[in-house]
Amino acid sequence: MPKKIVVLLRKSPHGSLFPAEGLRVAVAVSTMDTKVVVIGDGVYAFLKEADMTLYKRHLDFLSRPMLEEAAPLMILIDKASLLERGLKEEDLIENVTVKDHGEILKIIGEADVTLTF
Amino acid sequence: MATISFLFFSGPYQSESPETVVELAKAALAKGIKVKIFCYMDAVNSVMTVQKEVPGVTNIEKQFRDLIAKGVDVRLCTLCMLVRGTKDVIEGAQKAGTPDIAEMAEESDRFLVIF
Repeated sequence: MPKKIVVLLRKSPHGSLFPAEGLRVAVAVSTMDTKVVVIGDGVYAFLKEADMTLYKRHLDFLSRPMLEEAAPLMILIDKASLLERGLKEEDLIENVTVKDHGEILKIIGEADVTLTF
Repeated sequence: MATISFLFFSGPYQSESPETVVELAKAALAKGIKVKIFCYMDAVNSVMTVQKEVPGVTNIEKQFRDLIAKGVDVRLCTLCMLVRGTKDVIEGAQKAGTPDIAEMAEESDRFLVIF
């Protein structure tokens, strides 16, 4: 059975390279059973007005895989983290999915490998 | 043989993270567990050569040399080395890339992230 991989993005794109590096790793593990889960300040990396210069190409790759038969990799945003920061789903870019906190915890809990950034 | 892998982020001499990775690796080796370490971002500087010996401070270069001598698979993010100008690294540490993280995740029984 393939391992379930979660790339967990926790940090803001301002002041660190962690979201960009996490998405770079997500590309590397995208052929596995992988989900990108975004919690805490990581949500700022997916705002419409965020400067995505460093990770736009990674997002493009994840949302449009090179192989036609491959499904786009899911980027899951923690709703509670959004609400805590006064943000709404409409503030986010396309190709991300907002999930309730309980679902986010379940996905993290079921992962065989969690790669934290 | 069981395998444990570490995704390791920290440079030397700022926090205890390098010592933590080293001690966990030693403990795993003592139990007969195969160990792999992927040095990502600033962690590539933890395996630079010519680190100065300072009394009372754990020499990270020496610790990693010992781990490699004991068979630990140490891999370095090549892009991270390039952007930091990291050139001289200890013998046995292999240049690698993010696909190696995928391989390690697939092959390891446990995968830990150490900041």
